[in-house]
Amino acid sequence: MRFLSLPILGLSALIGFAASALAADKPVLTIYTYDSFASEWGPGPAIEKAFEADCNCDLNFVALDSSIGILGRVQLEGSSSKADIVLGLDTNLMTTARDTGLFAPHGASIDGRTALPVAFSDDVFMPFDWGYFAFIYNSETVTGVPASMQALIDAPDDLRIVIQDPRTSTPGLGLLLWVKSVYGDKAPEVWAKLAPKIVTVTKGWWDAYSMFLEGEADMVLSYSTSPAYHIVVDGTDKYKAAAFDEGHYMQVEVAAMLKNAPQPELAAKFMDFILGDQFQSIIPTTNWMYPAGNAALPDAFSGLITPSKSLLFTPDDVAANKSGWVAEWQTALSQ
Amino acid sequence: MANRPQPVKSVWQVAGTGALAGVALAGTLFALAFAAIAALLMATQASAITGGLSFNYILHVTGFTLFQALLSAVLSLLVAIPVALSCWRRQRQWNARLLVTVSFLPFVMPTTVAATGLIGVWGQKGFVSDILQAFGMAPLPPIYGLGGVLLAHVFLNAPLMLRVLTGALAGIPTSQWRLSSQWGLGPLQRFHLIEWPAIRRVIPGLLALVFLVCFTSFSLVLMLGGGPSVTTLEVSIYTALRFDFNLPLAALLSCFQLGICSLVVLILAVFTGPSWASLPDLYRACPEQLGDSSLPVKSVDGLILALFCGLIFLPLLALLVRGIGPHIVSVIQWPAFYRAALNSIFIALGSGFLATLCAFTLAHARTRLTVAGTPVAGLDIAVSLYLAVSAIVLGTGLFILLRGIADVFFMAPALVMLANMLVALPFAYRVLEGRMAGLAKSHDRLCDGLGIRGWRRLRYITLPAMAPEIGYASGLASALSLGDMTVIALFGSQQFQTLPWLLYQTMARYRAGEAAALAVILLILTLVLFTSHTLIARRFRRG
Repeated sequence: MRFLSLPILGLSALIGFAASALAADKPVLTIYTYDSFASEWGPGPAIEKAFEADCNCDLNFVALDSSIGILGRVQLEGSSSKADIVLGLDTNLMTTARDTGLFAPHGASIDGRTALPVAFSDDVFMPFDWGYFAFIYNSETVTGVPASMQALIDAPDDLRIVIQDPRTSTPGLGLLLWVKSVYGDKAPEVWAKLAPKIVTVTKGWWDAYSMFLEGEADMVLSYSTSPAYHIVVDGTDKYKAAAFDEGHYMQVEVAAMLKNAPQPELAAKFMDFILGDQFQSIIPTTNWMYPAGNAALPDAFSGLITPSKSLLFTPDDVAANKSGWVAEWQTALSQ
Repeated sequence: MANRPQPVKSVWQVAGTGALAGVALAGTLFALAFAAIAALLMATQASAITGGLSFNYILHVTGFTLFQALLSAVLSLLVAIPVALSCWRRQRQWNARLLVTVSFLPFVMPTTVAATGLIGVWGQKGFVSDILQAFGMAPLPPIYGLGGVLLAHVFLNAPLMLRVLTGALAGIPTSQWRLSSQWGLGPLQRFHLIEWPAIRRVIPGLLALVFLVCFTSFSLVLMLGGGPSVTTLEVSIYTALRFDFNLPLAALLSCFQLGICSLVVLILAVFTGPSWASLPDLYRACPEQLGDSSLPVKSVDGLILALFCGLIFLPLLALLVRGIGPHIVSVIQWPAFYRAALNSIFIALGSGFLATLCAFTLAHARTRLTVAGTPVAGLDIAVSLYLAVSAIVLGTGLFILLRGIADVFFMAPALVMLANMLVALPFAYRVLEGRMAGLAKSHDRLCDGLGIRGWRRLRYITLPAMAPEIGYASGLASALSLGDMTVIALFGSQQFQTLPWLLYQTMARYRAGEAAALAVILLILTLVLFTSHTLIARRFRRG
């Protein structure tokens, strides 16, 4: 009967967990976020500790599989959702999210507290970090790195890039919008010219990034802050982001509180906490993005590229055109 | 109707109450799947149901998906048949036995991990290109495109087919082998007269199973496909559900996918013979056949087995090379690792047990109903249903159904176990059903004559005789659930993690080294879990 001990152990662990959840008498602030934000190496644990230090509450991160997954989940749950806050949507999802009518104004001040390269003001969505999309390459093996999007398009076909699918991945959608914001109606032709250089189009960011690390491609679509990870954790500066003259498309990640939040006061307190120093200084080396507030940056960030121009469609533009643009992308690459 | 006299025994009287349980279970499976799809259909206000998709596009994608899945299934079969024959001829060699036992490993790994292994061998910087370059030749061209997808599908599915085919060969009565050696049949004649008739019966079912797996393949197809023209219907379903949040469209596409898959399963079912998979009984006496020890046959077998080993084990070796190192030490020191490992084992054992129990009940019903002369296609489809309906559709539908009743997060462990059980069910069912049908033939008259029936027959006759199959089925089901990355992505959370979920999180934070280490641990754990099932089963074996 020894083989039964494992299931029993598992069962008792579950019961133990359930008991501890029921026994907590402090108010619980529930935040839905994407998995890597809440993971051990993400910002989640440090932020939880910092906020719990003076809220007399229990902060509970619920990790879902992706930012689009967070929105889908609160839409499915509707007004009965247990979530107080969702954290991890981005500007591309803002209009869709606002239209669900599930979110409430945060009531905190944004003006003067942000360090974003673009103007940002919204009474519902609170920015917490941001980044530039960029192509990453290994400076020890790749020469003739394109200095602009145009140069990438005109590069010989033996320059191999790996990208993500805009339907399943945030950077994938970012590149689609990047190309669209630079080339407008000419985007389909640009994609057709890029096609021979594209090794493959993966479902998620990591599928592409790991293929790049394995040497399957010369460049991978990621964030301009990716090299900072390799500097801080791997101790190598061989991975670099290619700076493009046309400017880089941005991602701004936001949080919002729900209209039916079970703990509205705590939620409002957290929304204000987001742009504070404690939260913002945790972001760079855990989420590997730029802090949305005025926190100091670690040394590893000082060598990163600083794009001359920041590109960003308005949330309304994205919501209105996303499906059409994706269909256009699909047709152009399927030729 | 009720008071009309019944001169003949009803189907149920012949088949017994056990069969009724199986039919009820099949009914529940149907009801659950359709309730989940219906929940999606009715979930939201009727938005523009076509979304951004044109009918022509869907037709085009469906055509390509069909083509890709059929080709994958046929290629896997073409690889598996010669390997199965060679393994069968070399059954006394430990390496052939080991190959049949552990070649299923890639199939139960999370697909991203399996693909990483493949790239480690066939990629630009993989083993093969390294060797070519060492001899001054050009590295391999990139594998991306239809070729890459087919390679991956053969890599994952051929071992499954190998297992079932060697099982079919083991089912050939010893008398036939004896006759064959008396008549002095050569390898080709033997294939034509003895081996082919035996394996022919399992081929349609095998093709159907692998077809379903490849038809609904998703992240692997995107990762190795090379661009959006290599795609599957599953990608469109995912897009409708997640990207557009168009639940009715996702439900419609799922119904469409279900329809096509059911059609293929039905067509293939027409050709399926009475007997299905059974465990390869490699110790069964089979007199050595003429020519088996001749040099040409020996070298051909050696070559085939070596090539197949290369196909299956080199990617696994690539994973080991990447994963074994100092990262393993740091990974096993994470507190999260223990929680995740414990949860994983708990879920795997639970869903393995449930899948085997359900598969046994269904297989029993199928056998009894076949004896009673009733068509059983409904049972087959009920079981295959959960290969044809994508997990994300099923999960979202279940979520909608349950959200009013209970706390989904609190129920997450139970839901993950249930969903994993459903995914593993078709495989467990196929393994048990074939053996049980074979047993019915040989045991029915004997047991009836001795008056052994019901519980006593189950306890003393059926269970001991089927112990190896039960061990294999539950081992496979547990292993599948241990490597699951799809279901856990729907219901997992920071409070309820499994090893693949942890693996996914390390990946999402650049940690390639830790991810590789976790993949190795997962691989080892899968092997241990599977082997322990088969070893325990062997102790109960009788008859």
